[in-house]
Amino acid sequence: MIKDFDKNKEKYRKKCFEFTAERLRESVNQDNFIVQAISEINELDKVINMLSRRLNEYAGLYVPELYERINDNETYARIIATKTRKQILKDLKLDKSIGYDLKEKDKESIIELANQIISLFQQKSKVKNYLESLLKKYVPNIYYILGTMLTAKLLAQAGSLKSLSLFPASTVQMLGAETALFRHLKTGAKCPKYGFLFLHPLVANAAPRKRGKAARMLADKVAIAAKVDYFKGDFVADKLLMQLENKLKI
Amino acid sequence: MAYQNNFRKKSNKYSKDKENFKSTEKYSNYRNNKNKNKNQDMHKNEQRSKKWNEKKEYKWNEKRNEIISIKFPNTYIKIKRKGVDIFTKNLVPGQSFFGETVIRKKIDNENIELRQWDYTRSKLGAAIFLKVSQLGISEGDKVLYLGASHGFTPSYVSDIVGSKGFVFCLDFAPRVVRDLYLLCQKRNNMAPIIADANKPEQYEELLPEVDVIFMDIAQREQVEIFLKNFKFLKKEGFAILALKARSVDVTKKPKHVFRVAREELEKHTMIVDYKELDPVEKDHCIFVCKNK
Repeated sequence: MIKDFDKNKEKYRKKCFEFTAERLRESVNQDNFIVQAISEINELDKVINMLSRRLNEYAGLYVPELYERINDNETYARIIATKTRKQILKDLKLDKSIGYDLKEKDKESIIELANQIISLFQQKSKVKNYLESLLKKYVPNIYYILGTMLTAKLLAQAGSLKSLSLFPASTVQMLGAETALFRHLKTGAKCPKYGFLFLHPLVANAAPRKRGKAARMLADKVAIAAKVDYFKGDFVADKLLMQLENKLKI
Repeated sequence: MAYQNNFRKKSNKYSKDKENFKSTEKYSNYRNNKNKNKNQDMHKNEQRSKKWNEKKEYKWNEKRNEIISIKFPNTYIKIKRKGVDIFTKNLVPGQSFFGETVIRKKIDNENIELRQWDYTRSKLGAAIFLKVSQLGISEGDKVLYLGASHGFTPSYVSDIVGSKGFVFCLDFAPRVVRDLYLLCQKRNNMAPIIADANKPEQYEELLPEVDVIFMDIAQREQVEIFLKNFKFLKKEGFAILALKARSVDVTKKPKHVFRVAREELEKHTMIVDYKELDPVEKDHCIFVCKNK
């Protein structure tokens, strides 16, 4: 403990600042990049959905028939950005449309909006590729079992790889179902069987009665894979996945 | 005119009847029964909300619509028709850090800048709003603040202790300390420390003996961590603990958690004041302790 604090106040204050600055610099690691990337993807999804709904309303003024045929937002925006009204009607094999023939000036803002949506889709795919390359190096075992998005979601919910590797399998199974779990603990309602792990095809495609069982087994393997990744062991994920698939077939 | 007179006569008659009826036993019985039934039928939630409202309309006896200084140093209040505003004297005039309103006033022939304190965002502010008897923080004190977060409450504590005092702000999460670091650069009597409050050995070199400890962290072993940090406190120094019942145990009732914490604190310290922050902060309470 310091004894002559009142005399050299400024000196000791500076010491505190240096101490924290050093630690702040050290605290940035791979986990932060993964958490930021996954939350960026989630936010891009929200923005894209909002803007493409607006585009549908807007472009529906002159080609209302188009949205019925195409349900994909990206291709819809591409068609509107590149093709004229006549070409679209030709592709749809329509002689007459219920839409109004807009002037060139009015179309400008619509096409700009469509271009904006296309660029957002491109950015999303870029971030996804970046995230994939990060995960392949950082957590190869979990990535092999779960895929890009699920791995990133689990890591973001746990906060870091360290804390995920310290979780027991039962906690991994409940990640993403916190509200339901605490409702169960507080009021005695039904306990949830799975959180984010429901997005995995092995759980989602299982028979409804066996979903809980499948989620539990998957969580076991993920917990093992996280431990192997954190302590930098060998690649064991292919064996783990084989065991899992064999068990779930029966 | 005739109609009006008639009407008056009638109404007089009616009121006389009513008064007569009130004096009878029948009426008093009827009245008592009605009140009894009311209390029985009242649902539990309603009773709770009634309590809540009573606390919300907390009555202050001071003058209304005037800025008055209260017993804590550098703090002022203004009582409005509904609710109370709390202010502190701004240490760095001309700057507000969290978008709070700043007022310039002439008090005791001195031009002072006042910063408004939103007590719903801060547990210490809530304690002052609910008229805590004493906090133990006086001008020129050295304060150790555990769980500083973005530095909202610490900035007001630094206002209270003034330019001669000092506030050490400690937090564990790097993201939050980033904001805190930038805040502390602007205020001359604050310093950030990034460390785990559960391990006092790690930041022992940076601290002198302090006069006051304030702790507000949401951990399961809040009381143990609080007692661990007592080694920085001087003799007869004050220590304030803001306890969150939910982070200790979700399944138990808050009052039970508070009672257990109180018993444990009483073994080691002397509890000066205890306040539940119920209407402002849910399931929270504040302990003001004095080192033996």
